[in-house]
Amino acid sequence: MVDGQTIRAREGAAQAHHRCCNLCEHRCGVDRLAGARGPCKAGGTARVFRHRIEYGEEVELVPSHLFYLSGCDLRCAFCIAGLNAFDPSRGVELTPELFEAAIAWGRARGARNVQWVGGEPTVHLPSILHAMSTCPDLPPVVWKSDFHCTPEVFDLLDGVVDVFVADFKFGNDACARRIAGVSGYTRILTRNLQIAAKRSRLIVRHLLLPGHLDCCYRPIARWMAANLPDVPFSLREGYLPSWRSARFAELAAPLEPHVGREARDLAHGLGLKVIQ
Amino acid sequence: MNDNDAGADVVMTEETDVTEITIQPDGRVYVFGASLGVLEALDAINPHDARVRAVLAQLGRLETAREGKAPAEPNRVRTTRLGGSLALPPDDPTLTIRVDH
Repeated sequence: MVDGQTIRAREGAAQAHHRCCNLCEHRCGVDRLAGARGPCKAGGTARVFRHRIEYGEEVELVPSHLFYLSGCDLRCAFCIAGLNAFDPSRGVELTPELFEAAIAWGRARGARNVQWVGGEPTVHLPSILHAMSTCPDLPPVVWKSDFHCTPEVFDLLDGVVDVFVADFKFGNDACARRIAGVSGYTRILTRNLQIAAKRSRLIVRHLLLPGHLDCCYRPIARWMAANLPDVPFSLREGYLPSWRSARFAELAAPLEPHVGREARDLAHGLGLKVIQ
Repeated sequence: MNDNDAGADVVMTEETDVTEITIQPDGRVYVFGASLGVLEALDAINPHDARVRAVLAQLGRLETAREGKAPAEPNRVRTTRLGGSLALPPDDPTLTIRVDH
């Protein structure tokens, strides 16, 4: 874990992205402090719309103290957080004082780590570094991300993050474009996973989507087996229709039970390191 | 601001103490925002859920480590937040819970 001084130095570099934002692969380059907005619609202030101790994360992480920040660079139709994720004006401002008090609150309740989630924390990287920079006894840091970030983000987070949790959502670009409105998805994701695996502990998470076993899950599982076979793979079967998933026929119903079994069989057959 | 107030002050929506549970007609249970109490209740309802059992076992290990006890004491029983008892039989790694209201 780096000290506060190092985090402050990273914060300085990260702040440059507020003036010309290239934190995510949309690379919009807008001046967020001047009021311009990119696809994430985030300005210069990060906002927390929820924080809580969670027990539903990967077993090795619980109890985990999650900070949910509003604002996201993707627009996944099935997002469980919905408008809280996509409207960056939701929540209260993330400040060092708020963060420190909340960390004390979480520690008193047994939290083992602090986990940044969203929305997407990457779009608020400068504010997050600022909040952590003065926090005494910073707990281990978990970074739960859509991994649609630029490689520069990993430089800014190097040594700051203890565990990356990457959401590998789609196994092909067509599904990513159709459901999340993003281009070039698989190239970006696989590049970033390779980078993260070299920097820190990495957990790759995949939420099984109804109707996407063949087009998304199987390619992801095969890629993991070929490229990151030793990286823990968290297969999530708890899909429920949310937000605007009803716009997509296959996403309008929960996952059928046999799909989860098939997916697990494939993961084990490929030798993936499946974790709870 | 004391510890007890910090969480309440931070929260924008009133969801910190909310767990959303959805039960499908086929009996599948979906939980968002699981608390320890909810996990214990789920384990009581279905002690065969590997994921719930794994999380509870992990929490038991953490508690044991914090208390400096030897792990897996035979027939150790502790009070749960639900007011029930949590029994760990010596010859069975299965974590079972009885909730007494």
